Amino acid sequence: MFDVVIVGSGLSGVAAALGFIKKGIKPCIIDVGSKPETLPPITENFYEYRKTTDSSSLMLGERLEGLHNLLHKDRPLPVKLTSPRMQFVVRGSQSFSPTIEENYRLVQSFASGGLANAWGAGVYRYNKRDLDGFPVSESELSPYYEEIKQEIGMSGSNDDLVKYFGREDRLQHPLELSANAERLYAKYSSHKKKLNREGVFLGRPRLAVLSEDFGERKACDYSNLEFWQPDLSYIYTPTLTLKKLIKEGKVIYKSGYLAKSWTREDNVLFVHSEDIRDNSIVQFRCRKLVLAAGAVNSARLALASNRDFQSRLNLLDNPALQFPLILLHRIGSRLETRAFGLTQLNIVFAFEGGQRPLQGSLLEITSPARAEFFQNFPFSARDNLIFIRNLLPAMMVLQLFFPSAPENGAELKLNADDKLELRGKDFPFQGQRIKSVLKTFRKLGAYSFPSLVIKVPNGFGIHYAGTLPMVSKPNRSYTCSPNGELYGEPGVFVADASVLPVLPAKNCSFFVMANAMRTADYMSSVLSGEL
Amino acid sequence: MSDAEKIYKAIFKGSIPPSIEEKYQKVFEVLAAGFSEVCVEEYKTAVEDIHDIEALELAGRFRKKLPLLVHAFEIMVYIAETVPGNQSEFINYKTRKIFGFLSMTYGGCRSTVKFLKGLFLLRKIKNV
Ligand SMILES: Cc1cc2nc3c(=O)[nH]c(=O)nc-3n(C[C@H](O)[C@H](O)[C@H](O)COP(=O)(O)OP(=O)(O)OC[C@H]3O[C@@H](n4cnc5c(N)ncnc54)[C@H](O)[C@@H]3O)c2cc1C
Repeated sequence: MFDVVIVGSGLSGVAAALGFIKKGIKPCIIDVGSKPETLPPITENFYEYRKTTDSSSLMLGERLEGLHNLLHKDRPLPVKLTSPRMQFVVRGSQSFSPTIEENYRLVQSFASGGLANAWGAGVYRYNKRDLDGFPVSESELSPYYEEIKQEIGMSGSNDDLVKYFGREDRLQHPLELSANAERLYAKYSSHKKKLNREGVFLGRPRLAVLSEDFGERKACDYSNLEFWQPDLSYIYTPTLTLKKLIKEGKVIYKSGYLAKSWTREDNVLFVHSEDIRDNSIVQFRCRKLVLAAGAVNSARLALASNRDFQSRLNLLDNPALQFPLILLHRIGSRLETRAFGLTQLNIVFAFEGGQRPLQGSLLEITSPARAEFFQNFPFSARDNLIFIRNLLPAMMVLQLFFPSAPENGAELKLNADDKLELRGKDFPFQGQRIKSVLKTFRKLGAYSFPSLVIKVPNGFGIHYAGTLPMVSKPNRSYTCSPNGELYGEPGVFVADASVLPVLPAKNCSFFVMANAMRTADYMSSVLSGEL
Repeated sequence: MSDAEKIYKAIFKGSIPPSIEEKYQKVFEVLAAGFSEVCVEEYKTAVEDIHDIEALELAGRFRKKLPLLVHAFEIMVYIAETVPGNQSEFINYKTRKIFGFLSMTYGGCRSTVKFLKGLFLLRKIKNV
């Protein structure tokens, strides 16, 4: 029998594991655990590689799976996850967790390391305001943030965004900016006072991406491979921690098992799991169980364990808009082949009227295939290529996140046939907001039009949360206590983003990791008889 | 001329490298299986009978007609991007701002003419 079983090896699962290990407990992680194919890594710059090598196996895949979104228009994936080497992240998700989706597009991962194999690595503390309604304070989380930071490595700067992201000590210097981002930042600096008065703040992102070597991990080499190559050591992923912990013999990692439900006999929990190799049922016995399967699959486990095919749980995700932005003076420039192909800058819009701020990531678009933009230009095929060559080097994309709360979130229900039913609601994006965002960017020398703004499909924010919310005094099923224990389920704790009752417009994973470690800390004290 | 060759020529001018043609045929089979017989027929007529399929594709894209042809163009672009010899079709390796502006202006005008021609050509295809 194990002291602790953790379901899932994503960011929340490994953070919980670290919490137990620190207290001398060796947890067992059970996981489906899909892995990337073992292919020789690309070590060159993406564009240098393409100049000399046929890149069809990298960009299209041996089975042409890179064309997923063209061949399966009914089940599109976020662009990064269509890249052949990244597809393992979502491989098999419909067979492990079948869904019926109405006005919703769910992205689930059953990979070792979970969704974070493909994440953007934006890591942001939740401040007092973000934690409004959450029964745990900033100061209670603070020591865990520090420990997580030690583990993942973090670059960034304490600039104008400190007010929203908090002060972070021991940051590596921020990554080099692309020419587009540098231009935006310079413009912001010269109009700063006025923009700040209007509630607009721009700064460097906090990223779990290295700008300097960190232990055995090398600093970012600006190779533009972020969309194509998993396991780039400069981007933190949970598999880095997991591999280390397995090597050091600090965790027992059982991959190939799909947890289906749990039952309890006396004080022993039985996790009924399917061995995916032969579909046999295996039971893991433990004293305490940690749900870290991601907000959707932790909720599925809770519903399945209760054989509850009636309850509808809230499912939060940040509604998002994408703004293509053109920096006029950069049109006709050469493409920046040496760049970091993800978030360059963050922008916060703190509008008047006491609403929660909006947060945006300004992304470079140097890493995706140029063909990805082909249909976005309204010209003939040959002329579209002219625009791809001349306009794309002058473009960035703003991904603007909005906060989410149960009233505008989706609903999730388990059906008796094992299918999860998901129903999305349309978020009321206000046209006025869109106009004021565009106006701000005009001041920064970047242009777009309301008609070009794309609404990200419901569920494609990929910050799932809120299914098993934490409340100060739980009194109904599917809520948990401030220590993460599920109501009516002694010994079962929740460590992932399910616990968030509301979702601020801020990527949640850094908070989730800190909170998972805090929960593990509490559980360790219970197990060791201290509490 | 094969349909792959014709589409490639319409986008990139030069003749199609065999590796691209092979991949295109493979993907096209999967793609076409998801479309109705009528769509496949339209596609065949378009590539066999119409000389300026670049114009036809543009009009089809805007008018939401000839979906298979529109998809076929998109797929060809994805496949063609992976060939080292095509990199300069997609990437500016040098900054040429004035040239860039001029070529975009030219491209915009050329596309307007192509669009009008494409609308005319659309009428030539049965069922559309
Ligand atoms: C493209 C992209 C960009 C992103 N960018 C950011 C960002 O910049 N910042 C940020 O904070 N977040 C970002 N995210 C979101 C972030 O990656 C996720 O919120 C986070 O990884 C969730 O971690 P998790 O551990 O809770 O769950 P998951 O990552 O979903 O992991 C779930 C784990 O549980 C296992 N599992 C699930 N069900 C079972 C079961 N029944 N039995 C056994 N094992 C099971 C899976 O195999 C997996 O190991 C991004 C996501 C994507 C896809």
